[in-house]
This record gives sequence, structure tokens and C-alpha cells, in this order.
Amino acid sequence: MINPWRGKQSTPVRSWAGPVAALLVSITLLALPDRVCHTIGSVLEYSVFAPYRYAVGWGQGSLAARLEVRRLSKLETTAGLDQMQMQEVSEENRRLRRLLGLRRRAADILIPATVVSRERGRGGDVLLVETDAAETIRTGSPVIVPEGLLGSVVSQDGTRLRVRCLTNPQTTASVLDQRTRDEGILRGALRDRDRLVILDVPVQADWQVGDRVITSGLGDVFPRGLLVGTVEQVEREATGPLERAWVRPAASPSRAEEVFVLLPGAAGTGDRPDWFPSDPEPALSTLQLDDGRGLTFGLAPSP
Amino acid sequence: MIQGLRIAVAVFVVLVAQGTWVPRISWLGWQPDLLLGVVFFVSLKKGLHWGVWTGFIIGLLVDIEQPERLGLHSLAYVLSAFGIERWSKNFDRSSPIVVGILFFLIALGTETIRGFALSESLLQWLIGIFRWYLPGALYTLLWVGGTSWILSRVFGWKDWVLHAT
Repeated sequence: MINPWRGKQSTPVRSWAGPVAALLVSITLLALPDRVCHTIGSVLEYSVFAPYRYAVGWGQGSLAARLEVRRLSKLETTAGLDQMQMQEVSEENRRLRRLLGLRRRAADILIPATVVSRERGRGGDVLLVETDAAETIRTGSPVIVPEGLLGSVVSQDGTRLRVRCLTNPQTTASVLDQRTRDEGILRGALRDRDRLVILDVPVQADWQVGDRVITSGLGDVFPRGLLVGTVEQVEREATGPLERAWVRPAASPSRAEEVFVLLPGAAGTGDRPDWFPSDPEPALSTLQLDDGRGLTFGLAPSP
Repeated sequence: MIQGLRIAVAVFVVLVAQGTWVPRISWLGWQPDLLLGVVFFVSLKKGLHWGVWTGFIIGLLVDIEQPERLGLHSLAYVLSAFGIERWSKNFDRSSPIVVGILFFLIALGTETIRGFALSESLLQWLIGIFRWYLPGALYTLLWVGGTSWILSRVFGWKDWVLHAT
């Protein structure tokens, strides 16, 4: 018999020895325990078959897998970026929609301003806001956000306005219980900076937890009907037949980013619509541009 | 030496193909086994020794991907090489049809051996013959036969393909 490798004569036993050996080795490998098989596989993988493995890119390192991983990685990165942009746009959209909604409810002129600084020191909550139409604004003008009344302008320096918030103990405002129409004087609380307090409430008055508190319109600072907050607690004064009502403010100075300075409308302030966000909004067609100071909104003109 | 180099190149090319684009032509869970094609043609062309050791090495390359089954593919390809050696002597190896039928039987045998080791029960293995191994062998025959036909027609590699002798 001819030797298959060298072409020389070979005995039948020798000619079958190689193939039978391969067969026996295969069967032996198949019968070995898993732990031994793993060891042998690792040794072969990183020694004899290393060039093959490297060239072929076996398994996860294969060309197809690499291309797939690269494609998926790119897809994931793109999707992540898209998601981040979507979240940002969505948040901006939500905020602007609320602002637009507030604008449509107002009959007065709203001057937009951006919060550039917040102070919460011993003097109380003060915001520094910036606007392009500062020349039209006078000291004492109310400042509002979509949630409700935020405070009032106390000073002006160029395009920057200093806004004293309702939570500032120096701020006072005449308010009403929207349900009972009971009046009171509201101010920032000294001991609880996140709440407002109405002092010297007569015991005959009916202030209850959950009542909405709005501005009464008395005085020259705040127009009637601006939402201030909701009654959170009513307690009896230590001395005398009086009570005090604690109010949770609707607008938070720490969350305000864009605010509006409220100016009286050109047509007067006699017949204003309600200010509350829950009220139905006028049609979008009632939007009117004013002379550049901002956007004026009102009821649709009658034909 | 030259022939050995050609076999090594062929093995290398088919290994690359099997690891890269072949999984993409999988159909209904059936995937052609081009490596068996290499073992088959090496066995026909070079004889038992070459076929057995080529199948053994290729089988080990496949097996190191799943070390817990180390030796399974080697055994299957080695047995295939034995089968080719045994059966090919009794048929007309110059006829493409005969070679094709032989290849199909070898592919079915290889799939069945592998399936026997991987099946959890005898019933599962018997069902697998009709569900997986038979169609898989046919699918392998289609691809290997088609590739061989293209190679023989386009490149004139008749000594490598169906006219293996």
C-alpha cells in the first residue's frame, strides 16, 4: 500500500493508523469532562488555532459580528442623542406652551423676562430678571408665572429688574378667599420661608384648608384675581380671638425661569378675563402683536 | 506541497465564509455546511488520510467555539471522510449526479451524528431528522453543489469540484 503523505509503500496497518487515531482522538475528546474540554479548547484557541481564529474572527469577533456590533453601536448612539434632544425639545415645548397659554388668558400686556439670578439670603427671596423692554416697566409692577403671582418689581437697573417675591417677609398683599370672599393681608412668613401667612384673621371668617387665595385688587400693586396659592393650615392665635391662615404659594421662586411683568392694557383694565390657568382659553386667533413691547392678548374682536 | 497549500487556502476561505456571511443565508433555521463540502472534496481528491485529518482539524476549529462539545464536529467530519472513502469506491465518481447524491447522503449522515449528540431524547432526535437534518442536508447540497457548478463553469476548476477525480 502507498503511504498517502509520502507516496512510498506502506503496510495496511500503518495506512489506517492515522485515520483511526483521528477517530479515537475525536471520541476521546467527546468523552472528556467539560472542565477538561474547556481547558483544551482554550489552549488550542490561543496556540495552534490562533492564526485561524484571528483571521476568521471566530464567534463574536467575526467580521459579521463586528459589523453588526458597529452598526448597533452607531444606532444606539444616534438613538441616545435623539432621545436627549427630544427630551430637551419636549421640555422646552411644554414650558413654552404653558407660557403661551398664560399669555392667551391675559388681557393686559405681558413683558417677558428671564431670571438671571436668585437670592435667598437674610433679606428674603429676591429674583434678578432681565428684559429688553425695561423702559416700559415701573416699580411696583406685578410679576407672574404660569402658576400664579410671583412677586413685584422693587427696583430697576438698566435692563435688569429686581423682583421681590411673595415669600419675602417684606412683601404684603391684599388677598381674598376665592370661595368665601373673606379678605386678609398676606405676607411672607418669617419662620417658614416656603409658606405665606395671613395674620389677624377674625374667627368669624371662613378660611378652610384647600381654599384658593387670590389677590383682592385693593391697593395699586396687584390687580384683582391673580392666584396666590392655597390654604394649607388654619390655626388659632395664642392670644385674642384671631386666627392665622398658612398658604402654600402657587408660584415657586426657586423654579421660575421665565417670568412676565404685568402692565395695564392699553384698553384699560375694566373688563379683564379670569387669570386662573384652569379657566377655558380664548381661541388662538385672538393673538395680536403689539408695538414690539411684547404680545397683547384679549378676546376675539367682534365682527 | 502545492496541493496542500491549495487545501489550506480553500479551508481558510471557507472558514471565513462560514463565520461571516453564511449565517446570513440561514433559512428557516437551516444553514449550509460549506465546511463539509471542503472535507468531501478533499476526501475525494486526496484520499482517506487527507480527508480524515482535514475533517478532524476543521471539526476542532468549529468545536473550540463550544468547548463543552469538543470532539463532536471532529468525530462527525472524520466519520464523513471514512464514509466518503468507503462509498465513493463503489460509484462512478465522474458523474456529477452520483457525486451530488453521495454528498447529500454524507451531509445527512453528518447532520444526524451531530443531532444525535445534541438531542435530549431519542424521540427528539427522530423528529429532528425530518425537521432539521434532512432539509439541512438538502440546503447544504444546494449551496455546495451550486457553488461547485459556478466554480467549474466560471473558473474552470473542474479538478476541485464535482469532477473530483
